[in-house]
Amino acid sequence: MSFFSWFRSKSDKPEHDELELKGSNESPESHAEAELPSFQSTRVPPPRLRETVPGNRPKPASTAEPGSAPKEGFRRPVRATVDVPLQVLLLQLPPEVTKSNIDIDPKRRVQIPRKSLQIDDAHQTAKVTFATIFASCPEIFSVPIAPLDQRTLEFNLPAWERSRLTDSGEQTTNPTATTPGESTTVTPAETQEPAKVPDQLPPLPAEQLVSETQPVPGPEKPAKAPLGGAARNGSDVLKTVRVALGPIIKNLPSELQPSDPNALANKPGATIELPLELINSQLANGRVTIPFSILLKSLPEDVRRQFPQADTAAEVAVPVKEILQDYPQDLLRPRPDQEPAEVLPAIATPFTVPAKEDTERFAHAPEEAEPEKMATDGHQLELIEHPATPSESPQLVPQEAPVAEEQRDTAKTSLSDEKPTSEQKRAPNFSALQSVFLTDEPLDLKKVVQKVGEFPGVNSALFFAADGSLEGEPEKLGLTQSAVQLLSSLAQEVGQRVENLGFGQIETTTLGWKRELVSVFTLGESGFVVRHETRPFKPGVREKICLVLSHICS
Amino acid sequence: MPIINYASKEIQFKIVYYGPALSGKTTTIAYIHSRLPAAFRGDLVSLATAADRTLFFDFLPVDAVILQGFKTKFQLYTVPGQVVYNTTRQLVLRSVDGIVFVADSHWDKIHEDVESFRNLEENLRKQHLSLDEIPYVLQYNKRDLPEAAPVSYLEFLLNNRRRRARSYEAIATKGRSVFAALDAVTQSVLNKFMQENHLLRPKPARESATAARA
Repeated sequence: MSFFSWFRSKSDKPEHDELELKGSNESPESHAEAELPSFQSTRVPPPRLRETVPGNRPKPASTAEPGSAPKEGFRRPVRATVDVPLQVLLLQLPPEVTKSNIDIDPKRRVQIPRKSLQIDDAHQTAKVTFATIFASCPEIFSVPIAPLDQRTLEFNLPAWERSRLTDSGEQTTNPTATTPGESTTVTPAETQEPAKVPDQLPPLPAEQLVSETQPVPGPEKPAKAPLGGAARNGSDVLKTVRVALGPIIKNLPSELQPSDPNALANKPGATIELPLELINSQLANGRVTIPFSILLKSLPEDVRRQFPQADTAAEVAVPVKEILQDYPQDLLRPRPDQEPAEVLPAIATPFTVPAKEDTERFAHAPEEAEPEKMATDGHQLELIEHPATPSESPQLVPQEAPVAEEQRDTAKTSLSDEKPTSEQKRAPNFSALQSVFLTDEPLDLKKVVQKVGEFPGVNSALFFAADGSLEGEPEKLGLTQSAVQLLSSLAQEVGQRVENLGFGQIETTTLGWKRELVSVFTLGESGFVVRHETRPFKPGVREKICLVLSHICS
Repeated sequence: MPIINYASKEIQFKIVYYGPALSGKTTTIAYIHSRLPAAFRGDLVSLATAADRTLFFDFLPVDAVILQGFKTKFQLYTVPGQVVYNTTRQLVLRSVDGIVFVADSHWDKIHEDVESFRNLEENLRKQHLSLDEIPYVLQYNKRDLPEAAPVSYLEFLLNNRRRRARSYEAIATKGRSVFAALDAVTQSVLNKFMQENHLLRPKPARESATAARA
C-alpha cells in the first residue's frame, strides 16, 4: 500500500513524473506502465515487444477494446533490417538458382536491409531482389547473382512487421523512394531495437556463415581434385576454385608478406584452393577479398610458416583475373529470363555515317596491324643497328657499331642533324593524340612534347628517342644533354633490374633534383624526362604521359 | 524528357556519358567532337580541374534530324566520375533522355564500374527514373589494354538486367565503337520519343536540307 500511495502522490505531480522519466533509462513500455497503473493492479502482463504470430494471442484487455485508438505509450520501432525465415525464401526462389541440399537450419532468419525492400502496406507483403538475398545469404544459391540482377520475389511480412503496422497504423513508405534525410530519422530506433528483442538472431559475419556450410579446405586436400562447379547436389562436384598463389602474394600488404616473397611468388605452378562459395558471394562485385586466416589455412604447412601470424583478420585481395582462370564459366552465364535487346527501326542520325566509317576502318584493323607490327620490328632492328647503350653486345652488329658510335656522338653535339634520321622512321599518327590533349590542331612530336610540358603540375618535358635524339629544350629542364642521357640510362637500368626481380615493368622513375622532382618515363629505349612540382603527379597526368609515350613508341 | 521549344521549333535530347573516373568519358566526347563536321556541332565546353579532371561536365551540342518539322538537337554531357562529385552527377542526370555507360575494361577497375553503375541506378531512382525506362547502352572502353577483362565477365556484371542492353567494345582513344554506341542510344531515344508521341519516322537533317535547297 505504501508503494501505491507513493505512486498516487507522484502522479498528482505530472511535471515531476516527466522530469524523472526523462532522466531515467526506462524503456517506453515502462513509461506506458507508469501511465497505466491498472496493469499493476489487475496483473495483466505488459504488451510483448515481439509477437511471433500476431492475432493468435489474446490481446490485453486494455488494448483489445474495439475501436480504441492505438496505445501511444508503446510503438514498435522501425528496425534497420527485416528478419525473414530462410524457408520462406527457399519456397519462393526458383530451383535453377538455389541449392538442392542446404545444410542450414531453414528456421534461421535472414536479415534483409529494410531499405532494400519494397514493402506493400496494404497486403503486408514485401518484394526483394535476388541480389539482395544473395548479398545477405549466399549459401543458399548455387550460382552467383549479379548485383544488378533485378529479379524479385514476394513474401509475406514477418510477424513483427505486421504487428508493427497493425498496432501503430504507421504507413511505411517505400524505402526506395525515401530521401536520405528520412532514413536518418529512424536511425535511433534502429540502433536501440536489437538490444530489446531477445529472440532476434544476432547477425553472423560472412566468414562464419561460410564456415557453417563449407569447411575451409586444408592442405591435406587432394591436389587433383576437380574444380568449381555449380554444387547443385554437393556430391559429385567439389566446391573450391584453384587460384595461383603468386598474384595473391604480390598484392599482399607489406606487413603480411612472407619472409621470401619473390621465391613464393615466382614459384611456377604454386596454387591454392579457395571455397567457391566465398568467391561466389563476391564475384558479382568485381572484387574478391578473403580473410588472411583463410589464405593461411589453404597453404601447406611449410609455406604457412613463412608468413607472419599477426593480423589474421586482415582482408587479402584475390585478383579476379586469377580466379576466372579456373572458374566454371557456366556460372557466369546471363540470367535465364533475360530478354534480348530490343530491335528498333533504323533512323539515320548524324552519328550513323561516322559509326559506319569507324566500323569499316576497324574491320580492316587486322590488316593494318600487321604492317604496324612489322614496322615495330623494323624499329627494333634499327635499334640493334644503332645501339644507344654501351651494354649491348657489339658482336651482334660488328660492322654497324662504329657508325652507331659516331651517330651517338653526333647526337650529343647537334640535334638538328638527327632530324632526318628521325624522319626516316615511320612517323606515328599524332592525330589520335588530339583527344588526349583535347585539341583540334594538327600535332607533331614537337607540339606533343610541348603539350606534355603544359600538363597540370608539369614545368617542362623532353622526349628522348632510342637513337639518342632529343625533342624539347634540355635547358628548360635545367639539365645538360649528358645529364638527360644519364637519366635515361639510369631509368632503363633501374627498370631492367626491377623487372628481373619479378615486379613487372616500371613506368616511372622519379628523382629529387634541386628541390624539384624529375621523373623519367621509359618505354623500351625511348621516353620522357619531365620536371614537375615537388609533389606527386596530379591525378591523370602520369597516366596521360604514359599513354602519349606508348603511342609515340608504337 | 526532351525539351520542346515550339517557338524555335526545336527538340533537345540529352545524352549523358556516365561511368567511373578515368574510364574515358571525356576522351569519348572529345573524339566525337573531333569527328563531327563543324556545321553540325557546337563548341566542346569542358569544365575541368587544374588536374585536368572533369569538374562539372563536358558539353557538346549536336544538330541532328528533323522530326515533323522540328529540328532536333542532341546535347552530349559527361559527368565527373569521382565519387565525391555525386551531387554534380545528380544534377547532370536531370531530364536525361539517354545514357551511355562507359566502363573501364581494366581488371583493376571493374569494381569501380560496378559501383558506378549502382550509383547510376541510385541517382536515377532519386529522380523517380529507372534504367527500364531510359534508353542506355554499355560502352566497354579500353579494350586494347593487355589487362582488359573478358567481355563475358563485364556482361555478367553490368548487363544482367531483365532487358539486355546493347554493348560495345570500344577504344575511345582511337575512336573504335564510339559512334556506334552513340548512334545506338540516339536511335533508341528517337524511337522512344516517336512511340510516345506517335510520330512518323524522321528524315535525316542532311537530306531535308538538300530537299529544301532543291
